[in-house]
Amino acid sequence: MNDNQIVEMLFLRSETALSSVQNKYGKYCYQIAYNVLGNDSDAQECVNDTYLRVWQSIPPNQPKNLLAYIGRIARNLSLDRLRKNSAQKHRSSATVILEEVSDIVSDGYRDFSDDVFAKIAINSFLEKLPAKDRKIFVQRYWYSYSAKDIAEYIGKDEYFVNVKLARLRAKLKVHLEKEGIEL
Amino acid sequence: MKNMNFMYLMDLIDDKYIVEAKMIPKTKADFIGTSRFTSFLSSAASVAATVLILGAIFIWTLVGKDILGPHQSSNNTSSDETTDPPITTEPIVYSEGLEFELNKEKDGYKVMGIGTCEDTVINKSEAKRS
Repeated sequence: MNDNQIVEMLFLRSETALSSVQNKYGKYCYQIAYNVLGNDSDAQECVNDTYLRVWQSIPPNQPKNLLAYIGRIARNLSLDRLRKNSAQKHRSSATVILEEVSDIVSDGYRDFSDDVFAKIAINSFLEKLPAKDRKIFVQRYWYSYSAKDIAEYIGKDEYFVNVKLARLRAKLKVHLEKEGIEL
Repeated sequence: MKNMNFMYLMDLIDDKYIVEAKMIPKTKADFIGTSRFTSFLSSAASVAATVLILGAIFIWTLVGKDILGPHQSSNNTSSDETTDPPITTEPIVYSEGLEFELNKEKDGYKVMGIGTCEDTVINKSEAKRS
């Protein structure tokens, strides 16, 4: 069953669609949740919550890209859980990211959900990057993969990935300042 | 918990870049990420197999003791044997047609019944094997 058929089946309230989502995107969602939370049981719960959210949100939503749509739900649910579990002792790949970017993030909470300028700024930054660098950036900062995982995936060592990410963060900082976006 | 503004900013990344950067799930994730039901089935199957094997060994041990009995087996190495008194080389002589009753205290092996035997000379170990 392809993504369009899954969405159509969800509109028809067919539970078959949900099992197709589970089979097709279960591991994908789990990987995102695990990267953020670093804990098997929490990640599994987030994946189950993702299925529920997909069921509740389609319809009315009709996503053009189901993979990205489901991934976003899994990621946001995982981040919410990470924020609530602020007392958690174990480190996940996402908590390491928060330490990495602490120098470019100011104090205070900012809601970017409807910030069109921020959206344009981050995507224009990515557009200018070479495809290889862009993939590394998104793998690290959207999927929350560890530098080690990315290094294995691209066939380089971890040091290479860490240096590359440090340079990309520095570029992003300059770009955001230029665009007037404050983190 | 540190400020998560950066993570929320990343949520604005376009779908096309998310799809572009999708990685193949890791082996570990493949393993852990299987559904709980599948995990349950595999663990239940392992437990069931272990229980069956242990049960079979247990039953085999019981049946072996009850049906075959320790004296039917020529290779019996149970602890009963280790408590047997030392075998002496002194021969026991029986006459033809003579009824006899073996006595453990006296002869050093368990009484199995009353019978006759031919005129022969056996020692205790041969008698026990018979």
